[in-house]
Amino acid sequence: MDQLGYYLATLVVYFFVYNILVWGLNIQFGVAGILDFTYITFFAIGAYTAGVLTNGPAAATNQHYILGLNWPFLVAMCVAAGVSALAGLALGGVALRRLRSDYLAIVMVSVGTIVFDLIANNPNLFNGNDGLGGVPSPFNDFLQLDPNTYLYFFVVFSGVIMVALGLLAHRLTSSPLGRSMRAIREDLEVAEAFGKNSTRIRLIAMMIGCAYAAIGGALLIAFISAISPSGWLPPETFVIFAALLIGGRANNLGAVVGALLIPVVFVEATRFLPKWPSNPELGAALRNIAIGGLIIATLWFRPQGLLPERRWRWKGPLPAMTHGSPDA
Amino acid sequence: MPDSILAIDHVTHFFGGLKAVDDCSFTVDRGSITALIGPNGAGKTTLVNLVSGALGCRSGSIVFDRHTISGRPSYQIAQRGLIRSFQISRELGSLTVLENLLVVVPDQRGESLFNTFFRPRVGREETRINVANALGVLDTFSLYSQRDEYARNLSGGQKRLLELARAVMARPKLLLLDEPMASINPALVSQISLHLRELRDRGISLLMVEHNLEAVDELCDDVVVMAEGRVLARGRLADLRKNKQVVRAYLGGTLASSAAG
Repeated sequence: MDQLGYYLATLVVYFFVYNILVWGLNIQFGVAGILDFTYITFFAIGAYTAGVLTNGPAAATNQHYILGLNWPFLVAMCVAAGVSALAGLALGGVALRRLRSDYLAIVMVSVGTIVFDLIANNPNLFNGNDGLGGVPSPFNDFLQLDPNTYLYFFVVFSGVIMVALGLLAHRLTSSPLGRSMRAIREDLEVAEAFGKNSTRIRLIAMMIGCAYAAIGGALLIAFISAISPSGWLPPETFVIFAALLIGGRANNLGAVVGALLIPVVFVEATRFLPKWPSNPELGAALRNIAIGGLIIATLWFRPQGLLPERRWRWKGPLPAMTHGSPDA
Repeated sequence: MPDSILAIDHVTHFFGGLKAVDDCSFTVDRGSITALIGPNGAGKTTLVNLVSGALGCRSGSIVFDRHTISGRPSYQIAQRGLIRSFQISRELGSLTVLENLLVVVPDQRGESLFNTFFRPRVGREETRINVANALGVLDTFSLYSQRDEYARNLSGGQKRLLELARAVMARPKLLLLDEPMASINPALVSQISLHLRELRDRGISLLMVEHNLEAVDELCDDVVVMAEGRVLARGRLADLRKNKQVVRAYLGGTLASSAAG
């Protein structure tokens, strides 16, 4: 297979993974208004959980990690989603119950940093700073495909999961539950005054978003068969926020556009800019600055994003009104 | 003795060292329109916040429809059928007018997680019924043609009407209205008065904080006067006008001082 096809297929998988991540953050932040500034942590929880569940025992490798159960990928992915949702429940249960959104954001960032340091500095949990590797390719033990064909298989496989999650996200955002989430985002006190248990509803949004992040993480570690702390540095959360804000929050299609534009097109395109031999890290740093600039520009000039939240309209029949002014 | 839907019993509330509500007790009769009047800073809004659960009630007790609600979170109080409006309109701005009504319908089965993901039809069916009801309510409140407008784009008066329409949609037993007539024109005052009387006729009890004494006189069966966090007097407005304490604290207070100045 030619190099370009390989590269593009890889990009497509990355796009699918980012798309899932942006949808998850959209449910948390776009719809329910939760400032989850440590979203990437839940991606990592998903990736590591899926990794240690599908990997064999650590003794057989020269890595150190817990579990190592040789589980099939789909089971591991579901468990990873569950573990991440529970982590989201634990964090949200503490943080969402009482805290105003600004304090909530601070707690989120702090917890994310603590988890990051814990995973990076504890060599026995997920192989520490060296990262977890050797994760088997899903289904390939009986598919026995060569790497190039398997890549195309993985494009289809991750695409199917992405489409399924997209449909579920659409069901949520177009449901009465989604409407209640938006009401809470608009004015939590009013929603409560009309009988909405805002803590419960926000925790649901938190857990669903964390599950999406974890599924994205599980797909990514299965695809590249490894993950290390340098792959999910805390600023990565803001790349996903940038995608959501620029694409359009509370709009699932906007999330798709954002996932395509920011993490895929923008980050990939800037990868090919010439590197400074004296400082090879400069490119990545400039990229983060540019993403920050893009967020500011979007919030300034088009705060609703490229595809704004869609106005809900009743499309069914309209009853005849008695003394109002039914407009034709 | 008439049946009371709300009984406030020895309720006290402090903001730091400031005693906003001081050993306040009164009842609201079922099926009545009761007004709560008093000078600014009398503790009326604080009391509304205590009754609706927006503020935690730590001293005294509040009984609504035979259930003690003091100390309960506001969403549970609302679920029991005690719905409040806000002194300054609090529309859900990026939801449409119609959605502002749909979202407050109690006990929606479409809100369950299972139905959301696996039986979306339940939510759709329910929404169809709720839309029909909501459009009827919007028609009553002259907001029908604004149904698809974002609530934030409504005029001030329309927002007051939306505030009321939304409260009706929540199927309340008792409506707690914090200055429903505030900053609206006289024509709208009489329209809102009409709506409130209709609600009372449908069996909804109302407790309203209000400064528009003309409207209070016309609408309310019973008037509770608060001053400095306490209940000063209670009765019909015509009788209260003869009460020296009430006149001094509220009714004639401003007149007297402006005459003196």
